[in-house]
Amino acid sequence: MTANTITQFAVNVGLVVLSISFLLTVWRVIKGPTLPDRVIALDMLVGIVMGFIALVAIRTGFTLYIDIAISLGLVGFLATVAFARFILSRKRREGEDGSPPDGSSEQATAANGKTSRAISPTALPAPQAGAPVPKEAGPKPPLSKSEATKKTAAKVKIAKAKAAKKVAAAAEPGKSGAAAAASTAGSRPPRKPAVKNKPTVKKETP
Amino acid sequence: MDILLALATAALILAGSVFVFAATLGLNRFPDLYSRMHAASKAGTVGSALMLIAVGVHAADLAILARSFAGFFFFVLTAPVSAHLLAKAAHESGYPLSDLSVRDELKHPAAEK
Repeated sequence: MTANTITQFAVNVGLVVLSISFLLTVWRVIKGPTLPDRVIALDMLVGIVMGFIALVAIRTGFTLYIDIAISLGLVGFLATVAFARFILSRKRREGEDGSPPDGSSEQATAANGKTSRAISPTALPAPQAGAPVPKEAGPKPPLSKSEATKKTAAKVKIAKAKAAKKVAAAAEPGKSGAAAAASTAGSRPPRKPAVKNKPTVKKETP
Repeated sequence: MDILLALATAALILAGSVFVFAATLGLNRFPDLYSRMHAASKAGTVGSALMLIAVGVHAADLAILARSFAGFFFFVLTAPVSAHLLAKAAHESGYPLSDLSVRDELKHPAAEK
């Protein structure tokens, strides 16, 4: 058992293990539910290829391969940094990993079930469910949720104002018919908030 | 002496391949983006770096050993930086944590309401 056979055996075992790891990482690149998952897997692929290059350097005796491995590591580092900047500027797409576009993690976890594999069937209906507020939900989901509550509050205000109008319209003929001074004095305070509500509603509706 | 160097090289290669294989298992089995990053950027880096050192030990030449150590330190120092940048970007653009994660220290205060 010479020294050469020992290193050759170790190199062969290492090549087999690296090949299996390479295939598993490629599987993660294909399957990864989100873009950062794929970027991590690509970073991992660069590391595995550096291992391959080192093993080939040992096997063939060309130690110049080390420089190739170093430059490959530099390229992989720069690619990962560029991808990180891209992910930061792109923001998360709704339903990319199955979570509802509201974005609050509690609702996402409740909808997703227990594993990440059960996500993909729910990925399709998720954007349709959140259809009313799709565009504001992109950058900051919690803020968009508060915006949605604001919108519903505005709707409630409109409904209240309409109800107040109806009450006033119903009260005025009764007033004109009965014409009691005490009843008009009593009915004024409820009319004033309705008048206050009207301009704010008109400002928000356009 | 020759056999000693060969044994050291073989040990480094096997340890590196075991590390890389563990990193790949973590990459495929962990439930979450951030835990997958934890597996890939630590164990995978160490695996590749051990193989680079194995080249230097096998050559038994000071220049080649120095170059392999340069590659080792370069790779070990840059991988955490890129992983940190990627994790920060992913967290900031709203990728959720897994259900199994206990707490999120970087959570935006507006998300609580």
